[in-house]
Amino acid sequence: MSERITLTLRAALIRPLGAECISADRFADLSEQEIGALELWDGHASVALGDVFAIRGDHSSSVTIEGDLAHLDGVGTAMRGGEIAIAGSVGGGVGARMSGGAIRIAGNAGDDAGIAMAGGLLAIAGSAGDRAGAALPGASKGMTGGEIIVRGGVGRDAGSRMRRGTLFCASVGEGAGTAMIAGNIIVAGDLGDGAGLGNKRGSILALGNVRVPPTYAYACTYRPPHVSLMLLSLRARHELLVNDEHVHGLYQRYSGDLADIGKGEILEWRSM
Amino acid sequence: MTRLRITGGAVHDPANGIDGDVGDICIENGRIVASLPADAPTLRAGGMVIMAGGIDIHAHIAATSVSMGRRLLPEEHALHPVAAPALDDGSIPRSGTGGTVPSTFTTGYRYAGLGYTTVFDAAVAPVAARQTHAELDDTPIIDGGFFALLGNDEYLHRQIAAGELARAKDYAAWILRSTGGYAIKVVNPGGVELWKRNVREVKTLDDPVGSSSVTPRRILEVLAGAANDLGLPHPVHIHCNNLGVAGNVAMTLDSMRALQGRRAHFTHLQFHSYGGERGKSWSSAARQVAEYVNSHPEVTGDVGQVMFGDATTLTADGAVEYLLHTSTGRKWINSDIELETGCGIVPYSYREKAAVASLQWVVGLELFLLSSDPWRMVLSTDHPNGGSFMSYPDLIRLLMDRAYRDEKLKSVNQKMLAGSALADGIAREYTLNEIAIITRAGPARQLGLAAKGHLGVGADADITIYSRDADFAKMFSTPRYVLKAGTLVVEEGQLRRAPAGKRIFVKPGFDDTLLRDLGKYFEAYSSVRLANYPVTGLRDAPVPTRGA
Repeated sequence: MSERITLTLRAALIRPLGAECISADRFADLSEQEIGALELWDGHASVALGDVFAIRGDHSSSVTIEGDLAHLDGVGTAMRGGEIAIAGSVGGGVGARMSGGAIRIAGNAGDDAGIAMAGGLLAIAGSAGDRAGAALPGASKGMTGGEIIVRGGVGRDAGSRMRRGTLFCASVGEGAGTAMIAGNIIVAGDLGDGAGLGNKRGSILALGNVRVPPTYAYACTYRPPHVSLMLLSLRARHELLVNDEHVHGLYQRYSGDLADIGKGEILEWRSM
Repeated sequence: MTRLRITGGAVHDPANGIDGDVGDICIENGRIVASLPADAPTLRAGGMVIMAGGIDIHAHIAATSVSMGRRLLPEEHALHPVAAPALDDGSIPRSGTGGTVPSTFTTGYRYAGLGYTTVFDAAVAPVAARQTHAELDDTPIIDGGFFALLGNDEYLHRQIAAGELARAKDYAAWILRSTGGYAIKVVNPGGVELWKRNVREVKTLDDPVGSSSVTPRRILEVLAGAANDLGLPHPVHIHCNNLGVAGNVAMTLDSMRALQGRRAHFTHLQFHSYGGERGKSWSSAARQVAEYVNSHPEVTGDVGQVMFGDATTLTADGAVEYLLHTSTGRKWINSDIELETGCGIVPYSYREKAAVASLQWVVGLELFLLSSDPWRMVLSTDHPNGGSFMSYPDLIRLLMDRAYRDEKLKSVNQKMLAGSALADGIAREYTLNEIAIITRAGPARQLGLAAKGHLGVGADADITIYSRDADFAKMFSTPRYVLKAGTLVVEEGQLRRAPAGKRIFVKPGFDDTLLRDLGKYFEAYSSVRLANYPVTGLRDAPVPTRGA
């Protein structure tokens, strides 16, 4: 029983490796040997985790992973609790379908970060790739709960088909919140093209510029109290750089997508 | 020359009247023989249960609909990756995906892992038969065949309208011969054609389909007659009109009466045994259907049990899928397949809390438990429509273990169960021999497969050996050994070998004056030239037909 488990990459990865087995809650019941025997996916074959990582510690739900992990996919898939700290960057699918616990990444994350996530915290200090918090291809719902906090930018289709939960990022690519069912997307910068198309009841908040889609209609300019509360809470808990002028600011509300049920919104910050 | 003697196991071979007697099974060159020299290798099966390999008479594993289902459900692939098995026979092990519609290789591995060695795809559009053969080629271990869809075929309807019944029969024979199919399948006779013409519902067996002389009744009569006249090993395989609709039992019984006295197989009867009235009430009519089947020995059926959990409904019955899509709001595919048939797909979940799903679950179990002749009412879930074939072990436990069944019954939605026989209490528990009948011997007899489903001399050495377990679901989900044509494919519960299975098909004869007329029809209407239509190059020998 140790305080932390540390996995250190033995040799640089030259191709993607599926690490869906690395999940903090699962490690709580495992000895060092059992952790080493877990299987990573190398193409369609499997390799033992112990052959890829040096393992220190056992029976703990706090896990640190060290090394250049940009090719390591699926870390924290379906994780239900505990905590994973990634010292650098990580590959795709980090925190996919996670329902509890926290994953903190010091560098960047690949595509599909927090895809179909149901709960917990995914905090990324750098940027994330496409489809952060979105739905598995073909699935009807994206993230259904939890928080994804990305200090850098995220790629395309962030929060697509999102059902519940919060996604914060500095900037987004095209198609953020497309076919969103509900939930919150907060963008500290500009909103890319095609944001919120097909949105049912979701809320998309942009502190930068917005190109309003043609199927959205201007509703009003106001100081939304829920935005103040949400931004204050995010700032306090995640030490985010959100200014008071945003917390207490005036926002323009656009209703949409009117091509769908039109109960969603895009909120654009205007002024103090 | 491969030989093996299996000793000490309790043999359940109902086709040969053996019910749990301990005896030796001798195998030589992939077949069961009467005896072997004393030095032949031995597999000790003391305390275990020996049955023939399982036979699935009705599943969807290798058709264009299945392929489309896979394309519709990429999320299943992401959620259920399946690693390649550790094979030691030199064949290349394949990884794949699971879920309700597994990939081809995984389908073969999983069926074999359950002790099933023969599976029929129940609905193949003839024009797409090539695709089915390609997929069956990639479905290892199991012997496979398929039923060719004919109930909504434009050319067949034209022959019926013109009174050309001999030509209709020749056409059915030509279709089976050209596609490498095994039996004639009818899905919602006339109803799919009407659906293409924007008619949403077939009300009676005498509704006209285009011409007044083409009706669901005539289609059933002509195709049942063709199958019997051609001496096909399996009679016409019928999915009745109005699947899944309250009150459809009237149509089901009418269809059975229409073919009274003739051999016919009625499939997934659970979906066709509902009382009540559309849009108003819904109840079980399993008792009426079971009573009809019990008293008419020419009728065979399979149940199409619904099992709780995720499923994918995929069928040639596009009209049904439209109803399902509108009632669930879930994504769907609907397609016409030339002038031959249709297709619809909707992912679906059967929930214990849902009233209709609970009723369906009960209706299926009632069909099993009220049928007096297990040889004529065999096991299926219409995979993946009522549930995956992976749920068969749990279904077997429901049939064998009343306490488990009654406990489960308490947890389902009771709203529509008033007056149902199961809710009133059915004491029956299936015996091991009855399970052997509904999963092997019965399907083999219904399909007319003389060398399958039993362990007598001359039978294919497709054998499943189970370790006894009080939990029947566990016992049937992890056979200790499985042999396919004499090869040990599962050893100590692990899949070890994956030889290719055989293709099971028929080659009935027909009068080739048909081809002159058919050629003109193809020139005018088909996307494929007549000469390019027939599938060629099937390596295995066809199953003989009595007419040939």
